[in-house]
Amino acid sequence: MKAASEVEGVVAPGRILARAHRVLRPRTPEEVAEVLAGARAEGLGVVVMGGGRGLPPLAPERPFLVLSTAALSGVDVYEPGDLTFTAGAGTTLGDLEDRLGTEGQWLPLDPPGGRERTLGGVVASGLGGPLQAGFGAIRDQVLGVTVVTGDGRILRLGGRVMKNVAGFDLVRLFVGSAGRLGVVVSASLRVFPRPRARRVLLLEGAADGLPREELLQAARAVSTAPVVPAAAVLLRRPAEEVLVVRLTGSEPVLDADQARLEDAVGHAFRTAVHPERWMQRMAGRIGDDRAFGVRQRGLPASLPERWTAWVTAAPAATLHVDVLGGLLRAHLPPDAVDETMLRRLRGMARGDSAPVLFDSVPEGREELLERRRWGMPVGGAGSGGADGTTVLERRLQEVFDPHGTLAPTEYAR
Amino acid sequence: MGPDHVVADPARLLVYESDGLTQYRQAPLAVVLPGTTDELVEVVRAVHGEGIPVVPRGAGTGLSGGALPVEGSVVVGTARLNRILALDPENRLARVQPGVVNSRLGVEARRHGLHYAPDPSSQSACTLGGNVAENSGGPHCLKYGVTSRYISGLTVVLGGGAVVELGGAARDPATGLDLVGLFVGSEGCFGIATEIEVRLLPLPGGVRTLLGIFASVEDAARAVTGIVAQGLLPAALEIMDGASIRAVEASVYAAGYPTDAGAALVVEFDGTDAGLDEDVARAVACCREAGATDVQHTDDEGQRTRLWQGRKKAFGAMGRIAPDLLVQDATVPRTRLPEVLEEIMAIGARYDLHVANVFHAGDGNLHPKILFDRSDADELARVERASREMMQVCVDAGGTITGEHGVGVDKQKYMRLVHGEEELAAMSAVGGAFDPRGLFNPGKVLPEPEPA
Repeated sequence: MKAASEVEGVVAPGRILARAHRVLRPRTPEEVAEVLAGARAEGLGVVVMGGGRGLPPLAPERPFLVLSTAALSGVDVYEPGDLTFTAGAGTTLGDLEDRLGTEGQWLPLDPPGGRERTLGGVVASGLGGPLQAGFGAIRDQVLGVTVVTGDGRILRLGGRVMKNVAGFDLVRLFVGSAGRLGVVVSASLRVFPRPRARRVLLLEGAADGLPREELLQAARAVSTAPVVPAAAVLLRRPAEEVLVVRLTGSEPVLDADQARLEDAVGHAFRTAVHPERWMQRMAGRIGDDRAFGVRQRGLPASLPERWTAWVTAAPAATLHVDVLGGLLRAHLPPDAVDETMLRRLRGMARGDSAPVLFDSVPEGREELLERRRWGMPVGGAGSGGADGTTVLERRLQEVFDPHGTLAPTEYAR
Repeated sequence: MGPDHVVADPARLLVYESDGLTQYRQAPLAVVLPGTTDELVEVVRAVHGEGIPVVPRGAGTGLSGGALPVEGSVVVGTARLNRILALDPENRLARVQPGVVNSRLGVEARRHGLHYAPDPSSQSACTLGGNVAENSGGPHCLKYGVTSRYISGLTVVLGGGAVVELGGAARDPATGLDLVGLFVGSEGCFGIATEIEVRLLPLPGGVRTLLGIFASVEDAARAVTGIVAQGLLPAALEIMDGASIRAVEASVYAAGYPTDAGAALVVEFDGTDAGLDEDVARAVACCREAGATDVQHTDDEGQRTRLWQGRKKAFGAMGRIAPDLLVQDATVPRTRLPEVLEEIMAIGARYDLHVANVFHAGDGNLHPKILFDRSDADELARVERASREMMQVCVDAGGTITGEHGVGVDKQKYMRLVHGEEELAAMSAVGGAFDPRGLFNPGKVLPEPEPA
């Protein structure tokens, strides 16, 4: 493996890099296949890393190497007239934003971590941000991917056209597959014309004199209003609760949409003076080594109930809920999580609620989760997956990674 | 299940011999129409227990032979599984059985100020189960996307009658593979969806429709390029060429389009009413700049229907002027449309065929229509050769062989134009993960393996 070079200066949880046998940075799909074959020959697992933000909080238990996509970067094709581009997995969202901006276009993706995230990482994780409400999920924007399967086959799936039903949709299978089936080496996505104007609206609990119940009702009203905003989140820091709504369109549209939302909510919004700052907060954070990061999915209508449950169970937590999508993210300080808190979190996932999943663990606190293995659900409906689904997933893993080279497969087994 | 819902009489089986692609016909052993999920499971278990293949069927409006019976198969129709199980405006979700007709869900959702976005042209007849199987599109998917964007969960019946829950709106996408996304568009080869969870959207506040008349398709395509370059995102951008216009105007569906026109462009904007007039004004300017000979626009529902009339009835009108009509389907990158259309017309001329074009210009989805008479063996052979060349032209332009109709049996022969052997093998293996015995819609979608 002289082709792929050792990597320097990558951002990633230190614990994963520290335990990796080595970090390799292949430059082509063929080199990716070589890395995978080499790992298999040595009995190593492979953890795929983009920007390092979306990596699992704990290193796999088995010996592994890290395959960085940093050298698989750059925009290969960009056709503004077609509203599509193809870029390498290691290309950062920041670089894409700059490039698309020169043509007045954008990629409406705001995953936590923002500009530092890589295209491959975001596609492989399948997790976007609150802009999914207005523009669709990542899986709806990806038109094609080139992947290297766990057993080293290079597959070119999908294409660069908006509508494509020529055969089974394997593109969908790889979006969100989290490095379990193969390595995404490049992806083609659709882009959108950049909105002519934008506006960020705020409704603050304490500052606007609103009791929590009313703020929660306002958030619900936004998600059932006759106008769908580009994004809406409810944010909490221990002394602050605020509903943030992002609108896009032309100025007359923004005025009309704001008026209709205020009608539905029954309160007037304030317009954010620093919209950029709020948009960053709306995207949220991930891969933070100083806090426990967890997330829980739920239906939008369950927001008030879940919010109250979280505030009660974890008063020290910062919260971030996608009001229209239903995903809740919480960050807890290192000293706020112990066995008691873990039991409480498990309690949150009772009934119809989705499991609580860990995205990050502070340095020095790994032992708390290690017995459960990284990212493992701590309880709740669907945490184990229905039997039929488990069988299907196992068969699909056998199709693409028959030797179990990709380390994250431990997650599903 | 009573005998009423099992069809084995040859005369009654006739209607099930083909779907919307009528040149292929095959009688099934029998047709079974279950009325509940339990009955569906029982039927699949019993039929598969005998090693007999099952061909799922919705309304039979598909255009690629997806519901064409396989020899020695039992067709399982979903017509009686037509209940809307739940409509949840609080979460903007609905749970439906597969036999629910697309436009009926639209009507029910409308009561709550909501709508179901994908609108295939056959929406007044086609079922949501069929839409899931085919990942159907429609004129409005330029802005709204295709079926898969709106399917959040599925209950599916797999080989031997196993029932599996896939996805669900409350499920964390990172806890497993996107099996819902994979199942959508699997053309009945993986199993049968028996419950479908769909996402609904609020009805748009306003709609404006614009009709531009042009001397040529190239001019209309230039207008589309201008509209996209302006940063406008219409809900629909549809072009029909002169041949299609003349067919419509000669039919009972006459919409008042000038018969000497080279092309008609329908542009529709929807969304917050306050922004629509500005969008229309900018689109009108783009049309004029591209040389439109006439531009009309309206926000009146009746007028809108009239402007759309020609576009929506083009297939029906075409059917009048020739015994047989082949509706092709392919997608190319939008900017390549003018040159691809030119080549398609040249191919038609070379094979002495009557070709007309209606297409979703915004997303590059072409529907060349070839008029012919199947009783003329020579003409039929020319249609086959011309179709293949048209597909090749689209693939060479960076496109694909089907944008919304599916592969079925009609496009298997073109699959190697767009996929390599590794990709086809991977698709086959994925199909095997769902249906290891190959008893759902066998012999569809994937081509026969290449002889070694």
